Amino acid sequence: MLTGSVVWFRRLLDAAAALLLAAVTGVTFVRVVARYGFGHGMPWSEEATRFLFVWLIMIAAARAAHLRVDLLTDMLRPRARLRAEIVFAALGIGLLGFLIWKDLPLIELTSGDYYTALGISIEYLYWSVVAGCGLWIISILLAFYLPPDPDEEMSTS
Amino acid sequence: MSLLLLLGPLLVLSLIGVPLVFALLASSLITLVITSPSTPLEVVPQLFVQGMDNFPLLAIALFFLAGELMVACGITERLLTFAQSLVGHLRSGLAQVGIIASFLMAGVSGSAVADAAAVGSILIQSMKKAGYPAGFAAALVETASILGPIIPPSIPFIIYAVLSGTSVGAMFMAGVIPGIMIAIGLALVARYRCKDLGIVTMPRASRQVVLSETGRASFALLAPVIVVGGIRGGIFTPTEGGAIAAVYVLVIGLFVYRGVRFGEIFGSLVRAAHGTASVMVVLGASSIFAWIIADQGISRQFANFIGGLGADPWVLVLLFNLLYLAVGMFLDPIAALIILVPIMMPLLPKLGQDPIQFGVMIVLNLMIGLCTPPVGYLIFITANLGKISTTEVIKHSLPFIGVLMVVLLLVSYVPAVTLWLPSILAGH
Repeated sequence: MLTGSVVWFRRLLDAAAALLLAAVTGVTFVRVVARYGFGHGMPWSEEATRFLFVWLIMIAAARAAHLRVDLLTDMLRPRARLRAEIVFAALGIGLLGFLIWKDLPLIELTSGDYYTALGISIEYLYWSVVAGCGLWIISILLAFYLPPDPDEEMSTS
Repeated sequence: MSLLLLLGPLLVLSLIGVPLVFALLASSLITLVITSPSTPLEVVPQLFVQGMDNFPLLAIALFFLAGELMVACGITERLLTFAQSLVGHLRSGLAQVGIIASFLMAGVSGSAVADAAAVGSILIQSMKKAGYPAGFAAALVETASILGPIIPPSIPFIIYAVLSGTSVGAMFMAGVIPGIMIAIGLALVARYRCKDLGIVTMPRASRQVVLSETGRASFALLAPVIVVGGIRGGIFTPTEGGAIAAVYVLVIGLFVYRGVRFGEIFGSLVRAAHGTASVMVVLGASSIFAWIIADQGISRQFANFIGGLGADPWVLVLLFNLLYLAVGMFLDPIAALIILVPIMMPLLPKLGQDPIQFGVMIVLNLMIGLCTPPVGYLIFITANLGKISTTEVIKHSLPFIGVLMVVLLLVSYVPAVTLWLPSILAGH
């Protein structure tokens, strides 16, 4: 039951990330088509894609395989490795909690500022930190209950 | 003092295995609290978001997606069969096929790891069947995939350009000639090595087959032309080029080659999103790090220290190469760029190098690090695909790495290798 919910939680996060990336790609593509096909730019598109991009990163961060040097942890025995992972997780959760805590005043501070072309409040940009870091914390905790698929591990360069 | 405070915890934390994003956040936070306690800590989330909120960086997500879609849509396979009909009959035929396919893949994708997985998953098996030693096949795919981030587009070049304030388009163009040199060098070494290995040649494909394969591959072959040509011609920005590449690849996958399923498209989107997030959160965290470096004048201190050594520029360039090669052996190239570029940029006048030349030089260094132990993702991937030990891959990759080192020397000491193409293209 719980295992099923964890799997669904992860699928939902992945679907949200995929949807955001599809939106970023679509808007950027249409922007070029509009410029040459219809002869006018879309002034809101740059702000929109940047806004969606930050949300994309913050949502996908909860599920991404994060860059790290695992040379030493790989040499540890399973028990010691688990202990190290618990310490790292605690540090991560502490830092993410700190980001959320210090982000709240920014939300309040920017609630009166608006995107020039898009017209929405900049506070919604800073909400991405609260939402993203919150989901990330949940993901870190869930990884102890049910480790994610190792075949998703990948590097980036 | 501040440099030690900043780099000390960062090094310790990242070496014991803390994810880099947390190591960067923790070391920045410690430095901030100790050296300027009056700074409101709200700057941390603010800089974190601002570091990610940047239009040129969107290109990272889009080129990741284009690369993933190339594999899902069967374009890699198409490029491989095309290259096979062209050069498959040569003595080192399949090795040359791998180099040509990597070169063509590199024109759309910007990531070595993605290219190695894409080309290697098909080519290493066929090379083994044709009698090549598995270690040789893996080593070839491993080193040829370096072309991904050297030939435009390139994810490391985008990140370097944003961090150093150079033009993404100029960085892309600067990689073209070094990329061609690497491809030719690898091809020559492969040819020579295959003579030693006694590989049996395969029959030449008939002209009819060559023509039909070219026809079938033509849509795939057009992709790099559209992407690189469009960016270089100023028709669209590099970021927009990423979206064009992704949509183009998807459209030919759906309507021309018709092999792609919805699940694979979804998988490509998810993998590209995860890859982007893992890079971008480190970039976000590093903008706090970079802000402290600028705020405390750390890079100026460092530049004065290096300047005080009184070494000749060519010695400094050599030292930088050694430093970046060493860093690349341990650290992911993108992480290394993100951490080191802000500190290193003020040193450029002392090296007598243009920022563009410097960028190509350090990216090439870090990419060579991907082919060396102890932490070489490309070795792991290709050894895994070839079902052989990493030692076997490393042994066979030495002559190929020699080629990369020669090109690295040329990039480091001959400015025209990197600067000539951007300068004539930017011209007049």
